[in-house]
Amino acid sequence: MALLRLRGVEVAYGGRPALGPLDLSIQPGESLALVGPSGCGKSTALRLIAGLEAPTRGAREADLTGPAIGMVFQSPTLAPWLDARANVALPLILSGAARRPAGDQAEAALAQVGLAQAARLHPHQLSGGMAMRVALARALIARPRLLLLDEPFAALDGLTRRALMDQVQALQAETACALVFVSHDLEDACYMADRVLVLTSGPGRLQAEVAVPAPRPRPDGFRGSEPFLGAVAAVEAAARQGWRAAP
Amino acid sequence: MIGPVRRLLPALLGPLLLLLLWEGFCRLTQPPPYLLPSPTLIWAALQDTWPVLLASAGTTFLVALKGLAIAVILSLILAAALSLSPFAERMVRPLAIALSVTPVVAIAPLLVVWAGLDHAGRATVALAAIVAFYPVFSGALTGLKAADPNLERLFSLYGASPLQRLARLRAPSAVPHLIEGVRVSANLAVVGAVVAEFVSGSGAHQGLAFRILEAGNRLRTAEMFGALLVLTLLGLALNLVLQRLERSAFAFWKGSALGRD
Repeated sequence: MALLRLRGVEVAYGGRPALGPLDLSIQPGESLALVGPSGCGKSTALRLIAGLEAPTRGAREADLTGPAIGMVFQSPTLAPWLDARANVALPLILSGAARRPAGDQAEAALAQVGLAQAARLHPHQLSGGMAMRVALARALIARPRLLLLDEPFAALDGLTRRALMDQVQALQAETACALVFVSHDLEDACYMADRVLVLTSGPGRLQAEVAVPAPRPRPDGFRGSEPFLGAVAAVEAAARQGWRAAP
Repeated sequence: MIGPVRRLLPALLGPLLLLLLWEGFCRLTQPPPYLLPSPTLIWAALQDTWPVLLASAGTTFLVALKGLAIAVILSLILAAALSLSPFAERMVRPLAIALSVTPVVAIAPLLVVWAGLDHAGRATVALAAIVAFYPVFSGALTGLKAADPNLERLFSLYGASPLQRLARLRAPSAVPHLIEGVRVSANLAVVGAVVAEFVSGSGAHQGLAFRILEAGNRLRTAEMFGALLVLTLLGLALNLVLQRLERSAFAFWKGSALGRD
């Protein structure tokens, strides 16, 4: 039984097609990556999955709403006037939790991403990587069954990015939530996902689906292993076919 | 010590040069003092009248402050209400813009009539509030709609009610815009107060503008300049206070007032 299904969804803005038609389903606990060139509608697809946007045609079938979904955007998107603790507690507060227990839970969530010391810091006092971890803690605090990541590591340096990807995988293993990861980086996608969906240039359709047959969280040295390199090669081949070449 | 001196020197040199030229011009050409009093004459007049001027400055300052407070409170309430209803906003926007492009100081006589000659103070406060209204209102309304779109999406994702969205997202997002609006409005409130004092022109409300009128009627031009100088100083002081306030309000907003920077 799928957590969520998109059936023939299409999105058009002012009559101009931006995405689709696209079919996809997300199984509980699985990890799915969407890759595609800029402007193919990846982020639109993610907003459809989140239920934040309605498709122009087609249907979204899901028994998930509200706190069952966690989301992390390309930038950390923290409220500058709240400290890390209050930012993380926000989803609980919005669903009516009392301030004290929500705060305690937020501290636990911050500890989970290694930021126990930063609970009282405000966003402008955090590094890019720390802010992203706060956003991750916020997305996970309401124990979602589906976690959506919209290119969350694009602006971070290589080392921070790899550390965060491992952290996301560890947290996903702990919480058993499903993951949809949007990226324009083919290797990141293969590292994170069980299935990589390669979209065409906009309006994005499915070009290919590549499986990454390997356990998660990824073992050490995974980036040099046969399944990883094979998946990257397959995704790259699909991208070469489906993406209009940049000049 | 060298740093601040070097920074302040040009700023002080300009006015000083102007005063010297002015004084020299007066000594050379000897214009009648009711036309152009020399700086030394103005200084002498100031020494005679400063207790009265200071009291009047207090009156004008208080009027401007009351007007500003009313403008801030009204525009906060109105902007918050309008941000909840796009229809109401579209309805009120043209009125607010009309208010902003009309030289509202021109309604001062009307306000004086409405307030009655015995209550000139009310008219001055009302005019200060009306003149100060638009920048705060516009800042508040713009700010309320300037929230991060992705934060708006998160609030939708977590099923926030309109009131939660206003209180926990839009109102705090509006703070920097609001602070900016208040700073502009504060200066306008002084303008409103002074104009209303000119128009009411009665002895019932003795602000700085009244002192200028009074001295003008008696052709005591040096006293007029003295009152004008106090008005300038009042404006400068107000700006300085507001700049400080703005800085600490902004620092508090983003949490660095707690000393963790």
